[in-house]
This record gives sequence, structure tokens and C-alpha cells, in this order.
Amino acid sequence: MQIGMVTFQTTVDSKSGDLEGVRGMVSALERARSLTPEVVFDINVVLDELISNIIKYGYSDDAAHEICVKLSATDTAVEIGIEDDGKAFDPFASPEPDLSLSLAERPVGGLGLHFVRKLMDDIKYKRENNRNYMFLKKNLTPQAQG
Amino acid sequence: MDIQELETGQVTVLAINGRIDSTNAIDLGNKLRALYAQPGRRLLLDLQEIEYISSAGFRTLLIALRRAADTGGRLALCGLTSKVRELFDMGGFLDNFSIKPTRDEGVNSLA
Repeated sequence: MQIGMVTFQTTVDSKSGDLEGVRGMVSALERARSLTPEVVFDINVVLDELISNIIKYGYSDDAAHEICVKLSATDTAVEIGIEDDGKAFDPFASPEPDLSLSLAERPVGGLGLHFVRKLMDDIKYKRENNRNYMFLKKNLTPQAQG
Repeated sequence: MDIQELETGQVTVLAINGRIDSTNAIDLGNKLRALYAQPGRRLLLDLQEIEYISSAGFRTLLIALRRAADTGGRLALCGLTSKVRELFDMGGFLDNFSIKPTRDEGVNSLA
């Protein structure tokens, strides 16, 4: 059955770093589209990686900033949009981690973005009007929907 | 995240419930650091009931692995769901950790 697109939106306060609103949004989308636990797992990991990255590295001042997070789903894909007013930073321009290195030699910092690249099917970044925009897409296989 | 701690002989089992992410990995890290403050600690983390784990959780597990080595202790994991295992694989960590299918096997491997 075609239900069309379902969209949810919330904001994260960069100071508090509270992700409860984001989790509530993922749960709402899960219910609205009967997403599988596997897809929900991936979305939760990706949102945690990207938002925590912005909070950790995005700001040079001490002020509270708003990070806008949008989540939508069609019959065939889940789309994530994240917008922030932090420093210009394309997280996907960084090199892939070298997994052949031993644990002691390996910097663990790039791991989160490595997960994001692997878990998502399409990733885009743009800088516009002093804001960062990320668009990510996860394709849903027919089994991944209820 | 909810952590249940139980002693089985010489092995301490931590059964973790919920998510391990950027907002709470520090709590798990503090717990593990306190446990490894006792030299020779044998620890099994049961991940069966975790909702998801992000890179912040992996960092905590890697630190625990080093701490175990530094304090003459040991660390094993059990109960990895297929999604959690997938992330261990993506990160290239499957060979770094001692991973057992069940809690019993995990406890036996450390006893």
C-alpha cells in the first residue's frame, strides 16, 4: 500500500546534547512506517554519530546552537537531513580509516563516520549561507517494510 | 542504559540493557574503570539486550580492553545480535575481542 511520505522534525540543543527528541522522532517514524529493527538500529547509530560530531567539533564559542534534524520515509527509503550553523565541515571528505592497522596504531576518531558511510546508501553535504547541510538516504528493501 | 552486575564464581557479568551511545558511553566507561581498579578482574559483558551501540560505545570497549591488559584482567563479550556483530565487523574489531555466543560460554571462557 502506498502511504506517501511521512516526515518528522526536531531540534537538538548543542549545549545540552540531549538526544531524547531525536529518539522520539525515530520511534514515531518506526511506528508510522513499520520499519524493521535493523533499519531503526542503523538510523539511531547514524544520528548519534553525526549529531555528536557536530556538538564535539562544530562550535568554537560557548553559546547554545540549534541543530535541526529531519527524518522522512517513503515506501522505498528513509531520508535524514541535518542542518547546523557550526564551522564549515564536510564529514565525508575525511579519509576512510585504515582498518588494516593494529588497534594500537589506529586512530579511533574516524570510526563513527566509517559506520555512517557503510550504513547509508547515499550521502551528500553542502555549505550554504554559513550553514552545513547533510542529506543521507537509506534504501529500504521490500522486507525492510511492514 | 541499565547495567545489571552479577558475580559468577570469579567472573563478573555485566548485562547491559538499552543503548550505548555518545550520551551515556561515559557511564559505562566509569563503571568499567571502577571494576578494573581491582587487578586481575575477569569481566564478561552481555550485549544481548542492547538496542544499539555507536562508535562512542566502541571507544569505551577498546579502552576497557587496554585496561584489562594493563591490570592483569580479562574481558570477554557475549550475546552479540546480528546487527551489533555487523558493527564489530565493520570496525574490524571481531579479532580483537574474545566473543562468545552465550553467557555460559563466556563465563566458562573466563573461569
